[in-house]
Amino acid sequence: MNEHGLILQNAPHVRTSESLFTVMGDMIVAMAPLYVIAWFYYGPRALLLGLTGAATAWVLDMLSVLACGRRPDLRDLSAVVTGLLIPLLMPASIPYYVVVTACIVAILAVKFPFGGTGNNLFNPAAVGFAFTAICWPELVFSYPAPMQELAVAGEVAAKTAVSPAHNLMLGAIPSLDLFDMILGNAAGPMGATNILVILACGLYLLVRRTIGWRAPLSFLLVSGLMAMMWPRSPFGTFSSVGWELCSGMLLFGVVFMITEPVTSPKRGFAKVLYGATSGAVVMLFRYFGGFEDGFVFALILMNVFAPLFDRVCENVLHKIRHGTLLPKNFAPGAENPPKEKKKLPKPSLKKKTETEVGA
Amino acid sequence: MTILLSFFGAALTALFLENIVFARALGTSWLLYMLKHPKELVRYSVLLTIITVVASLIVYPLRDFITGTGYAYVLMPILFIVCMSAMYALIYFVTKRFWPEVFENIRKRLASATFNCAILGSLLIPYNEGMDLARTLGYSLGMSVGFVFAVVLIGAGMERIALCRVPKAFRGLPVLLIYLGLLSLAFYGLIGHQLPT
Amino acid sequence: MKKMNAATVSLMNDSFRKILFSNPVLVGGMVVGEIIIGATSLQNAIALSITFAIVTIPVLLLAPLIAYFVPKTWRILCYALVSMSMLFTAQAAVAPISPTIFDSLGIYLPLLALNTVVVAYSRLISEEKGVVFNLLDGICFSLGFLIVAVLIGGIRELFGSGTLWGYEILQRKASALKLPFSGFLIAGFLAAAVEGLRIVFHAKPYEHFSGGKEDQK
Repeated sequence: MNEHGLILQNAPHVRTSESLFTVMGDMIVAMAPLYVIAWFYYGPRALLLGLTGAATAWVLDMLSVLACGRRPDLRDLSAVVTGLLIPLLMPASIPYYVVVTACIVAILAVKFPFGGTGNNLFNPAAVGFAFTAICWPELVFSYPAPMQELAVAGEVAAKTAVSPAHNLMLGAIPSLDLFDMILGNAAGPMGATNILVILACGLYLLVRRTIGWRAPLSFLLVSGLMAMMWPRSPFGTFSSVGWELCSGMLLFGVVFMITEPVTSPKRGFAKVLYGATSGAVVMLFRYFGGFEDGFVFALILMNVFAPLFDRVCENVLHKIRHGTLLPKNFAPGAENPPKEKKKLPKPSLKKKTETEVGA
Repeated sequence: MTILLSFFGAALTALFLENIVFARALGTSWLLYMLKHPKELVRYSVLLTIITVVASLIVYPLRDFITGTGYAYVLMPILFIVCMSAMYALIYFVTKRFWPEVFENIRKRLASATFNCAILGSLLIPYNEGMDLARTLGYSLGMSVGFVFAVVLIGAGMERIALCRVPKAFRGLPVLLIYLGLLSLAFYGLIGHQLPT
Repeated sequence: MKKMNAATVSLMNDSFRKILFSNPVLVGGMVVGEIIIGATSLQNAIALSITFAIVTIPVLLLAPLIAYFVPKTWRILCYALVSMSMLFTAQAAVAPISPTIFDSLGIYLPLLALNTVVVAYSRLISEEKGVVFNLLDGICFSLGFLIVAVLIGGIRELFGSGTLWGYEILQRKASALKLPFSGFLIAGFLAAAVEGLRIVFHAKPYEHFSGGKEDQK
């Protein structure tokens, strides 16, 4: 507490009956159906990848809290959420060491140096995934065809399929029906293909007030608009919108990563602007970037500029609320007479006599 | 028209894609100094811009003399440093004679503004990549603006970090370096490939 | 053994600190750029350290002499002259390490000629110290630089390319370690390790060498 009795703290700010435990618990509950669906499509390897990620991240987080000299809070599940997010962004045939590397980078480079939970300036899952995407792009972006049981340990010999995002990057039409993509029968990141389940999880999180509606809505509107105006594939504008929104990790990122409380802006209108700008930047990365889905890089870039939105909104909204954008002495004359400076009585250091106190 | 386009294209590349601090890691000592003394930023950056652009202009015709010899790897930086010394003397005498108030302002910073890794880098990189005059000038301009951009971004980041509970061993330079690294990762996403050194 | 007085001892301590607790790169933040992009392998690291030593030590040695003869404004030109004339020697000394060393280092080897120690430290501190102490300073700066460069270069080469001095060691490699951003991250962690060591051994905190003197020219 500072000298005015106020608590200065970083986000997540919890004011209601929720706590960090319930917020993170909600996220884990929302990710569970995605893991079940991934198990359905790819076999138990999906679950084991998730467990590896979660365990690594949680152990590293506890160790780093110990290294800071604080007592570890065993109910702090934010590292578990990060550890579960990372495998969902990767193909199910990914080797275990890639997931472990991503979790190591995510916790040790993004959370630990800045002080742990609530102090990270960047989304840890995004940075971890970006690191492995740069190191091993051929592993991270080669997706197995769905509905095959993958080997749990050792070498995975899986039939790979081309993901819709890759097709769009090359300017071709994805070879799948939109229905297939919505149901998840497409090649893509483990947790990001099943659009219906992601939307349902998003609805659950909205209802539980874990995520807001402003950033995702503006994001989807802007990216849909850009997909409609500049379609990458030859046919149709509306199907282009469908393909762009359902391919890659865009929808998954909108539900789970853009709304992270620590790194996104705090004011409502700022969140709208943040979502809109993120949508534009993600689409620009898709058009001009080198990877087939540069969502994580766009997100990291937006995390850098997030407080700018808060500041701009404070200035603009302050001016709007206080009535005018015009400066004070715009109209010469009687409207704004110059104020006299009131002289405040100086606080005296002399002891107050009996007559002054309580008179 | 194409000249103007290549000028601005090179300036934007130097500003965002190949930012002098995030992608080329030059000028970090002066970055640290500017973070401690933010009021000098405008003065210093204007000086930096003028020196970079004028030095590029002076150096451009002289480059061809040295390229033929076999010692170009070492002779070229030597030529650039000689040109920077000439710039130093030029600015010193010109401002002292014609604009004494400006001279008083920049007197303390002139030496460190001229003999700088960033300026030497902005002379060497266009030479290595064989840019023509318009692109070289645009690149130099973009590089100094990119330095200011980097200082502003990192300053904003340091304000955010001041609110975090940074562990004791990380306070100060370590967390600044790590934040620089993560910013560099963000900007790497724009390029997508490693820059030639 | 001659008895050394307190001033000499404190000057020597100042110099020896430069190896670890006042390390120019990790604590002073001085020659960071060349290490972060240049030191991607052990060979590069050794080449950078040799160049740093060859370029910096003569400047520090000649600083009192130059300060005696040359007025304040023009001393920087002399320092730049000395360091750039040592570039030839540096090139000759570095060439036997590997035939492709200059290609892999690119512009970062000549950039060491204008590093902060040559440009700022020499003007502010070295002009007032004696020649012996300047030599000690130069050696300790170079040792500190060498340690940091070898550590960063070694880690990046071993885990980034799977090789060490060109010999294959590991099969799996994380090639992102050779990029600038991981250089910043590794340097940041090493700097935190040095600061942690300093706290554990209760050593003095680092005072930046300008300390108010930067305002004088």
